[in-house]
Amino acid sequence: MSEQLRFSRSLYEPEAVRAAVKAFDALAQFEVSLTADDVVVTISDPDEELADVLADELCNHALHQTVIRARG
Amino acid sequence: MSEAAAEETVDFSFELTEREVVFDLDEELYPRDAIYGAAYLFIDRCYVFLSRPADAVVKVRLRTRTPKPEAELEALGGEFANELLNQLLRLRIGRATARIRETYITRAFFADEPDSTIADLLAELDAEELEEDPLEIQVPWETAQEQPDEEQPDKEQPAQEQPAKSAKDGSGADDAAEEHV
Repeated sequence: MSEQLRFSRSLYEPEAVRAAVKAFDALAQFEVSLTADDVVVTISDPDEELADVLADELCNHALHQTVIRARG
Repeated sequence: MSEAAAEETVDFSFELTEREVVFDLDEELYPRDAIYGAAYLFIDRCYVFLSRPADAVVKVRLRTRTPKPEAELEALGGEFANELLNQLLRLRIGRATARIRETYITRAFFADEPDSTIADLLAELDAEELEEDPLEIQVPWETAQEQPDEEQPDKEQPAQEQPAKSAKDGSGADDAAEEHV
């Protein structure tokens, strides 16, 4: 079972999303792809204990990384 | 309220679910940096996700970590809106005072006499310290000890005479009475 997250490229920097994915790398299988408008992250085989919160935590971390980069 | 005024009014409306409060923000009213600033402050309180349903519109989704009553979700949305205004004001003040800050920084780094300010201040402080010492308390110990040996007994004399004087005053009499007892 997999879950797909779409981060708008106008709001999230692709590099920030990649950094967030890297930080969570040990907790699930991630696949990152770019479309014209979005950074698409597909999450599969998540850690059972964290499956409920993994996507949300990833979103928070991606936002955190984006804001840090935006502030320079 | 007139019809025109009613048409201009924009409500802050949001959707509520068991754990979420969702609302749209007009990016022309709230710049992205203000949205980022507010969202960043809420990261430790809830899960924040931003999306773009249309041009110049940012959808904000705040999801709590545990189910919350409706009132708390409304409060969360309201607090976010307040923080958004706070961030907007900070941005505007920052932009309005940017040139002043740049001017001060430029002056600080590229002044004509970069070292003179500190050197002048130190010299001024030294001069003040020397002037304001009428009792010469700050005379170094070695200098004070260089006085001729003959003068030292004279200085010590008053200290030796002190008990005799106090005896004359009567306080010495008390001492003598105490000795009798």
